[in-house]
Amino acid sequence: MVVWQIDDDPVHTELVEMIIRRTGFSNDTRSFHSARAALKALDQSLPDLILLDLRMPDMDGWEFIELTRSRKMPPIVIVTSSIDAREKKRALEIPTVRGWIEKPVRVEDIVDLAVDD
Amino acid sequence: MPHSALLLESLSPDLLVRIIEEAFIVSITDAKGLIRYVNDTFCKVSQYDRSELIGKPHRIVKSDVHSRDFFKSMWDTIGRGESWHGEICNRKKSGDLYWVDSFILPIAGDTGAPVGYLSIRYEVTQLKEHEQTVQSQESLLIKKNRRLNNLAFWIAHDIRPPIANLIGLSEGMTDALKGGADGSQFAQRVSEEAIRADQILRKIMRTAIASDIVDEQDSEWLSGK
Repeated sequence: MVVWQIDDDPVHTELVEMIIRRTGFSNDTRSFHSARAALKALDQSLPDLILLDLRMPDMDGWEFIELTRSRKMPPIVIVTSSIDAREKKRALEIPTVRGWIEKPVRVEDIVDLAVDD
Repeated sequence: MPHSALLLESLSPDLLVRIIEEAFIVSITDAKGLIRYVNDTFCKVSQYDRSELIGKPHRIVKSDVHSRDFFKSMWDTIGRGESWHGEICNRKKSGDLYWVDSFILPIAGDTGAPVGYLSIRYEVTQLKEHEQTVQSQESLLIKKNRRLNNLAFWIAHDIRPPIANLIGLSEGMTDALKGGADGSQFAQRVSEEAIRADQILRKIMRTAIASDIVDEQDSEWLSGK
């Protein structure tokens, strides 16, 4: 299971990497601190799952989703500090978006991902 | 004394005229709008002598506050023989403006067409000024409230990420310590994230002060000085 995180907050991505390793969900995680960098990396390889932040400088999560709409994409799970129900609804209506996790990410959230898979 | 003496209709015309003269600003114009009569109150409020007013068009006290349409609609109404009621802003001899609540009543001639107009008004300048103050305060409040909403939104969005990290880090530290591991790597991060959260809050507070949401006095209290 190859998991990519796209989030500009390095403390957050490190925490999630630790959780992912501990739960054994994946031993191949990669963190991108800009959506633009992740977009470029998609040309080389495709992960099995993308954990995507919404609010990022430069390119935000919405733009990333929009720009990858026509590509073959793995499932995306939004990982956000947003608690806006309208935003959640909007995200979950997108076909490639499989889930919505509110920060902080807990062990249970990652376990749930494994079960859903 | 019979009871009917206490009805308005039964009061002597002289008494009614005296009341109107003393309590209101009164003028009478001819059909063309030339002033034929003004009472003392009119002279006092407008700062003109009677001699400066008689024979002059009523627009001598006109301000440029109202549109051409405003006066056209007024003249259309009274020209038809109907009375008109409204608030008018006039200009004193000194140039200062004054507001009057006005009743204009056409005086019908033998043919029924107006031969003149009787105007009875009272000054409402203070009321008007008060109204304007309330309005500007209201729009200021609306503006401040909108800023406050934006601020609340901004706080919610910017302060949540480090708080979420703090929760994640402290839970990680708890787990590490429970498992007998060294929690010091987490402890360092916790303090860094707490400082980050504090910096974000400080920035928000500075912006709140700069954009006039809280004034200096409040801000001193908020920052605990």
